[in-house]
Amino acid sequence: MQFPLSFWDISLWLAVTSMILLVASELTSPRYGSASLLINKKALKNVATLTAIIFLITVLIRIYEIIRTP
Amino acid sequence: MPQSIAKPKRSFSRAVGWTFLFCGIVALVNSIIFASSILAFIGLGLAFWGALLIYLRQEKYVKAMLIDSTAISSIENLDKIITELKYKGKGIHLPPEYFKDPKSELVYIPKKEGAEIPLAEETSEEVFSQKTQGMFITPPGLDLTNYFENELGKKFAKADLKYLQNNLPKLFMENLEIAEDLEIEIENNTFHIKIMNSVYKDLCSKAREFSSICGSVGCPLCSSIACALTRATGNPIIIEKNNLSTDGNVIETHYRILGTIKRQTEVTSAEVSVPFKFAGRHLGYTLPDVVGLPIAAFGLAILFWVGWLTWYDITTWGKSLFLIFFGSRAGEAISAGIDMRVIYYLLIGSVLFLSGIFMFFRKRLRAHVEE
Repeated sequence: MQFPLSFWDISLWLAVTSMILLVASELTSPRYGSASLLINKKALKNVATLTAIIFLITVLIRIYEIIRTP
Repeated sequence: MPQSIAKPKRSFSRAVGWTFLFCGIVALVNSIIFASSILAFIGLGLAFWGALLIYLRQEKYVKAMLIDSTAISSIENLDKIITELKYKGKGIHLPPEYFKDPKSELVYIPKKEGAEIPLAEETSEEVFSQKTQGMFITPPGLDLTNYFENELGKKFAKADLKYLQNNLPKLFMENLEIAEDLEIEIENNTFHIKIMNSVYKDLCSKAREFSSICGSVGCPLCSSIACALTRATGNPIIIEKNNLSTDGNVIETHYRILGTIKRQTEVTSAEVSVPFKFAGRHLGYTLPDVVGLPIAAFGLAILFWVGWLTWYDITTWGKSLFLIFFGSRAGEAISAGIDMRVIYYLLIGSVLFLSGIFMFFRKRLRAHVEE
């Protein structure tokens, strides 16, 4: 038994998720965007930034692997 | 009563969150058992969004009209009291240093127009003072100023005007979203503050009907800014002029410092009003460090690697510097399949290192300049 997703599958999933979250966090301002979506915007922004950072780390790992492989 | 109405909505979103999380975990477990990547993607998505729904709690928002309805009666009462008792002077926001009790922060309204600021010894904790022939009341915007301090995580008594000029607009526009824009102009001992499209515009418009409030003690918003200025300067402040544009979108207020008083210790001035709670630092505050340092470290690692490679090529193969940096590396891992050369790595490393260092030190340099 093995987890069926590779590191790069998760990296791709993180890329898509972070994009959705980053766009959502910019559009959910009660003043300039959707006023009916009553969520903690600050927390959403934090999660979006964190997901984007994790994705960038996976990109860095990928670059490192490309450079390192003979 | 409103709590009992709001509760089912909150519990519904929580229930959805927990359901998503549970289904996600089940899908993830099944994906391992059946070796299915589709199930794994579904499980990952459901578990993540479920956890997100649980984490992102609902915020309480109220209609802007409620602000006006809640505050206007108190403002009207205050106006009636001041008018009927014939206190004609302009309200003077006095700093905490002015009072024996450093936790006090009051507005002094003189009985006569053009009266002078009372001496510190003459100030009173009672509302009506016989000595000064004036009244001391709590500023309508005092609690709002305390809230501003909590949001910014800094006591205005320990800050200066530059800090207010830099941070109040951000607070109004981004943190609290109570205005579309805020401008602060400082000229000698006067302050010109322009607030665009504020949620308080209706309240401000209504408060203008009460002559003893608008342009004297101030509506809660104008008074809160006066309190902030009083704390930052440590001097008495009056609201000199207050204008509202014809469409009601722009509130312009002129404040002026009245005289100068000697500050007592920083410690006493810091102990103002309600118990102080530092708000947690927003991720945006630490982001330059979180991003800047890894970028600089990554750039430095690339530069070290380029240095090592250059040294190795010179000592082992006896290559010239031109050939090392500009020579093609086709067939080697360095080329990464896109004909990457060592010079590109050198440039990438340098840019990453310099930009990371710049991001890291820029905040500190700015803080140093502000101090």
